[in-house]
Amino acid sequence: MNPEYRLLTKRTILVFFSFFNLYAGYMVGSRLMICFGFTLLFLLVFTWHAAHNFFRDIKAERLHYPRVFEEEQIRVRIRIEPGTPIPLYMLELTDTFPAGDSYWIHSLLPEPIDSRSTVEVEYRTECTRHRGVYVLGPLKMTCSDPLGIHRRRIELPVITDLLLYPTAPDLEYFELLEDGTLSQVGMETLLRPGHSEEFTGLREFDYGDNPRHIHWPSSVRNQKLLVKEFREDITTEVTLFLDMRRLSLSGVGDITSVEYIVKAAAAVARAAVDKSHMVQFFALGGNKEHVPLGGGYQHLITILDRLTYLRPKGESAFEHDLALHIPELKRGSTAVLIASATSIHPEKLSPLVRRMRDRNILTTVVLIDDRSFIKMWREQDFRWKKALPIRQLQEILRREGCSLFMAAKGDDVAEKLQAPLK
Amino acid sequence: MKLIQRHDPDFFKGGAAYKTALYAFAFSQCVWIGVGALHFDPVIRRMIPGLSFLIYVPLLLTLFGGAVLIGMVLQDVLADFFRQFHYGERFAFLLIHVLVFCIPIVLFMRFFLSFCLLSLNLFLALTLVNRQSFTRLYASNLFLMSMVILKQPGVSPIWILGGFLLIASCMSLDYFYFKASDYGESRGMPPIEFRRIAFKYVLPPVLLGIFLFWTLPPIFRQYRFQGIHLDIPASRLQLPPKELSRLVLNTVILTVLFMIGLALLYWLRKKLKGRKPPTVIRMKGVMTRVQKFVKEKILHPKGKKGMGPKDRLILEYNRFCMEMRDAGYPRESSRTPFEYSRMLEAPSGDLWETVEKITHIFQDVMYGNRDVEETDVVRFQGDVEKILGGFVEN
Repeated sequence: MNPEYRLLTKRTILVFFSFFNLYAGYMVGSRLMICFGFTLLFLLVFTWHAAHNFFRDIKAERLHYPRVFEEEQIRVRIRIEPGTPIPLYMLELTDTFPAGDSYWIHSLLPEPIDSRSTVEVEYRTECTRHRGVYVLGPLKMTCSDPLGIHRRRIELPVITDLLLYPTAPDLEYFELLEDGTLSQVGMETLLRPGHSEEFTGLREFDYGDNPRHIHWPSSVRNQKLLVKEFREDITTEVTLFLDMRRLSLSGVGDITSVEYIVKAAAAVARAAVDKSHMVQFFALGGNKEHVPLGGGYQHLITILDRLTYLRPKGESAFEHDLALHIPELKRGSTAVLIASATSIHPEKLSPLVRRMRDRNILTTVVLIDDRSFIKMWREQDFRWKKALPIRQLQEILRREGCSLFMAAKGDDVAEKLQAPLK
Repeated sequence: MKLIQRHDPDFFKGGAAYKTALYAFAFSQCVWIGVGALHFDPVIRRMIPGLSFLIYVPLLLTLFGGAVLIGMVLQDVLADFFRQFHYGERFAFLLIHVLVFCIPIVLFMRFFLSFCLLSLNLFLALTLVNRQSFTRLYASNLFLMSMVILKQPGVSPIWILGGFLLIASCMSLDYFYFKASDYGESRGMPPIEFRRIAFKYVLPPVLLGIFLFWTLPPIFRQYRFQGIHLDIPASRLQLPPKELSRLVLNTVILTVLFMIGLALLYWLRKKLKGRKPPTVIRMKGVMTRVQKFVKEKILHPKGKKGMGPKDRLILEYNRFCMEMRDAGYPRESSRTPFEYSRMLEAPSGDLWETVEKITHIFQDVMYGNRDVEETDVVRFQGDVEKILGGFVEN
């Protein structure tokens, strides 16, 4: 039975017997009985007064890191400062933690606390839910007087945000990305004397050349303007294209194809940053999210930040959106397409892959077999039937020279990304 | 989930084992109140004259000691067992209460309330497994005490005080014990904290009760004005057993009604205090129109009232543009006033100059913060009319 609706409680029996003694005592003229009734009544009043003032001016705050990765432990500290000198005995705390398995975290403070003391409760819990923004709070407190007669409960609006990042697993053998030509890209400023580029030779001055690069002695000697040429050190670029259309979402709860896409993107971004590449990503679909090129771990944090907020939206075709962004890719860079298998139309994608290949852009495709997840939308029924079987799709993409990876429901994305399909 | 609590280790040094203390106090409470009931209840003494102190004290010690010990040892097993009860079984358990309560009636073929409550106490002590069992025990013991005080005028205040203190201590201990066991908390509180609780919460009601006992004058008129005296039996009515039974029944019914009234008041207060948006009184018909009129015309008036010559000049230029639009010269929003004036194909040079003039004035007023007099506005209006007349004629 719900304790709220229980009839036989300490409070009820004290009210009953105080009234009983007062009335019966008055009826028979028993002073002793009246006094006993009053004693019970006083006990009720004293404990009620204490319970009523328990939470007056109480302050609480929650302290934790604002960001955490999926499936990682987070340490949350709750600091409580009671506002009254009335001690709180056996204070029960219930914190709302929606990012974990247990939505409510219960704890008990066995020691009495009052306005002279500040108590800190700390709990560690695993963030088992998927990426996103989670609001922690409110904080509920329950306490009774030390005789357990009057129970009082409050809800403090202690609200904090927790950003749950998608896991970015370490890909040791992601062989497609070689090490970048410049180390520590985006991480530190290289302080070197003179130019950072290597001198390669001289050529005739052309309109638009920097006059500072004119080599005057050689120009005088040859009677024409000559400029110095340097070898250009380039950093390879990795561009991620994420399929974030509404129909690419299948599955329910935390196990969805979109979560797999995001996880794969996070892993590739981390691998690229680890190998000192510049990374950018485009979320194709209704969102049209774009993180411009950058390198280093700070940039990785930016990417993860944006990945956290991504939601599948929009109806436009994956290939259509991809075609719009291909001209922005640099020659010799790497494009990683991460998409649901049924979203890919080989007849539309093949020309795009060829276009990229012509510009020496290495194309990697990470396919998420969305058919292994639970169907989410009615339209998917038709699309899934219409889509090519996964083997056939793989064959076509391989023929086009793409490097292929595939993951299905239940697979470890990091593991799959380290084993390209042959 | 791992829970860590930080606190000052010097302040908190572990404490008494709540469970042992709780069961010890429950046992003492049952024995103390039971002994008092058997000792003070005149009906029992009259019916069983041979029942002496030397018989019932060891008997109660043994019976309650055994019952509480069994309840304590088998607490976990019994708690699991009772937890599995469905509603029918719960009702059956309630009937067992009633049957146990009636055992003395079957034995003596008479209704001895104190005896019945004592036997119920024994059963309750045997099944002390959860906080509800303890609450039942307090209710039974308080009833027993109230009955004895009602029936016996010469009952010892020490016994009442002792009973009250034991019940209060038990209440406190059961709160701490069950809360700690709910959370699997092994740490306790130092005994000094319990002393603080006793001084803060239990002692003041007791002292106030004693104070009242010493100061309260006799209730009935015939005993008043005789000074404060402690001759308790002399200042109260001696009711025959039948009257007493009726009084108890009446009091119970009245108390239940009183509590229902309290519960209703509590519910009403809770309902009224609920979070409701402030009441919005919607006015219909004439009242809505009156409200609108007051708001628009009196409180926040709009329109020409209060408009200065500057505003009127700008309004006049806008009117000019609108009239020209109707005449076939629309002004697009991207056009500046001068671009517009150049666009207009004036029928004569004089008219062209007037257009240029009003455009200059408008530009200066609108963007140059030029001061305008009433006469300027009148002149401007004349010019506008002149231009409009010229264009319409053509």
